[in-house]
Amino acid sequence: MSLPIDDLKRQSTFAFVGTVKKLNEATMAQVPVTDSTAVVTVNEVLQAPPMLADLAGTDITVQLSSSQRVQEGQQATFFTNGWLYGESIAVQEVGHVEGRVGDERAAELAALSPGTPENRTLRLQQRVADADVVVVGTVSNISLPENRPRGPITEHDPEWREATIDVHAVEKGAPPQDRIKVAYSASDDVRWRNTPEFHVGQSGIFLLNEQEIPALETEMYVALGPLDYYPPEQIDFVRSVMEPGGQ
Amino acid sequence: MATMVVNMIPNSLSGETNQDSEPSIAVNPTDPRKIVATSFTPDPLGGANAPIFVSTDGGQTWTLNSIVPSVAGSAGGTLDISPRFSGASNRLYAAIIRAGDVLLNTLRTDDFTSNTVMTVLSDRDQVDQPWAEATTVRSGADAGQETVYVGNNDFNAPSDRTATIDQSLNAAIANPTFNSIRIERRSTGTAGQNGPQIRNAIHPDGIVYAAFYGWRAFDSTNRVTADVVVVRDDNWGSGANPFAALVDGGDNTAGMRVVQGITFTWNALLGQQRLGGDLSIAVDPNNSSTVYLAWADQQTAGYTLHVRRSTDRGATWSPDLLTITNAKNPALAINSASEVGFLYQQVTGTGTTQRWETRLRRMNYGQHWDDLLLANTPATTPAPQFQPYLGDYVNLMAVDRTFYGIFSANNTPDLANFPQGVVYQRNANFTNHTLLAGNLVTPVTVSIDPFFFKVSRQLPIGALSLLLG
Repeated sequence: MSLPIDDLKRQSTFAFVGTVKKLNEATMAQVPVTDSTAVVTVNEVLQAPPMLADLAGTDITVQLSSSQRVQEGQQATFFTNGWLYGESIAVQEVGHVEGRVGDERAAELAALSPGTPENRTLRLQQRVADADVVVVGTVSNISLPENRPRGPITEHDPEWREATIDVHAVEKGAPPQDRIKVAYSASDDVRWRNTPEFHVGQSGIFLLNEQEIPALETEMYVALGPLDYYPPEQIDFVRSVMEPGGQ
Repeated sequence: MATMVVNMIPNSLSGETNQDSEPSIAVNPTDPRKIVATSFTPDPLGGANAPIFVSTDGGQTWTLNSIVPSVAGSAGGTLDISPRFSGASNRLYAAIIRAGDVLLNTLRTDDFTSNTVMTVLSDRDQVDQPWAEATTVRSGADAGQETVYVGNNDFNAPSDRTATIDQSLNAAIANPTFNSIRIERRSTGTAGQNGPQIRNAIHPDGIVYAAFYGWRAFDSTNRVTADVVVVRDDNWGSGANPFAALVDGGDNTAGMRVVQGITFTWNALLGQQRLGGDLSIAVDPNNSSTVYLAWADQQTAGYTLHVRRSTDRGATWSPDLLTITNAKNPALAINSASEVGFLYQQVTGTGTTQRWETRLRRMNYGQHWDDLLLANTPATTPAPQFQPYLGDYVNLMAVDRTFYGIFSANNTPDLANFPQGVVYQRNANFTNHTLLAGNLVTPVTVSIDPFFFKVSRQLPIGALSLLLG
């Protein structure tokens, strides 16, 4: 019994159309071959990061879910997660649907593929929906937080800073003033790799949420996500996503 | 001498450009064909589990197996990870700072090649830089029990004395207990904490050493003043007052201050890599009284590594056996012939011509250090994606007479960068020094990759003649 396709999408990170080439086989010596392993020829990648989006035509190993059986020669759309990456790759099936999904579903899956234009738009739509405020502005000052009790000294310290943003336009929400303060991390540590950093004079569009920061004993706007800031040249893109029916 | 150096990125990930820094390694002492390695490497398909690197052929080939609890989309898979085999079985332990919730997790799996996510044995917050060591008790009433020691900087510790070892003396049972042992007995002064590096070394006779930076001051310029402290326990850390066997006569306090008042600057840079202290400790498997220690401090000439030796269980220490400037990432190991291996990375040159040299030095019979240059790679490219650029540490192990190690470096496919030779699993053109994607056509940007190496000594011809009579 297969899961509904929306559940398959939600539970997997790699989706492809494939043809079962050989049951009870594997493309990698590291995979223990059982009656749940199969060599599958990838016909079309529907959802994958760029590094693994070019697998069409190659054979990979699929560890089949116990709930569904497949036969050699059968084509299906497989919803999977990564397992082993070596000379070949092996993935674990969450489930599959018979044949190729329709174009509409394929487009939905493409939108889940990191790095694709569709994914960029989808993620921005979700970020806009979640944001308390979306403002166009310029950073006029950077300072250390006022209430800054010295926390532990670790490599993973966020190195909190406060950016003052002069608001030129409000695209969403109602910021309390035309000058707002935003907390962000100035750390280069791997923990904060995907967070935006700011400097005085930097303009752009800021997508912000107000939240409590226990370390600073305050609640304020924060920019900690990779989609919390877009540079000026992308303001039109952000606005287009915000328009009803946009992109 | 036989040396093997392998770029560990698998062929199926030839297109990857991740900064795979801060490597570590665990070799199964009962079967050294089985090796696990780690670095800041996320799941290639963006899944919720981070991968470990797995080899079952002695490090010749590597596969990623995503079995470490993480969070989908994590940049580095974990925020710290340190693996160790149990010592007498295939069982693997690991200590991590988990991506997402930033919790210290101690993990375990009975089969590191399976697709079962590692079991979480302990779970708590406010901890930095866990470092795992493990072994199996060989004799006595506790024979067969697996002991696991996780050095960590625990900000939950009372009195600002944060250097801690989480230990389980029977870690293989279903629900093992981990006790937090505070190993700093002195005030940490204005620093209010210890440094993040807490390193352990276990001898099969039950003696366990640990080394840490006893921070004494931290000023407004990020300047750290510290003692380098070694503690010891003579019975697996099992007593009422563990790790108190080594008393410093200077203040009659447990913990020998090997050096006092050293300084360095927290988060200074060397070859694009941040600095913040470096420590390694290793005990001679043939003599638990002999222990080697490496640490880093700031000298006039630059950030400097020191190596010293104690032959009386840490009571007294030699002068520097090695002093190496502009270097970090020390890793000590001692093989079954009591040969000492010392791995480190050193910046040479200036400006845009700076290079990272990765070297393995080995001391034979306590007399002479030889010098093996494993890699000589650009230090100014690629640009950092984050810190740590190469890693806040590397790792070296010895099984029998062979040294097994790991380091991260610029992955340009250029044999001139690897004087001992190198094997790439990922697609690479060594003629025009270009990485290639899976299609063997598309060029791939240079990045930081993990490199495995194995160095085994072949007997000299003279020695062979003697053996053969």
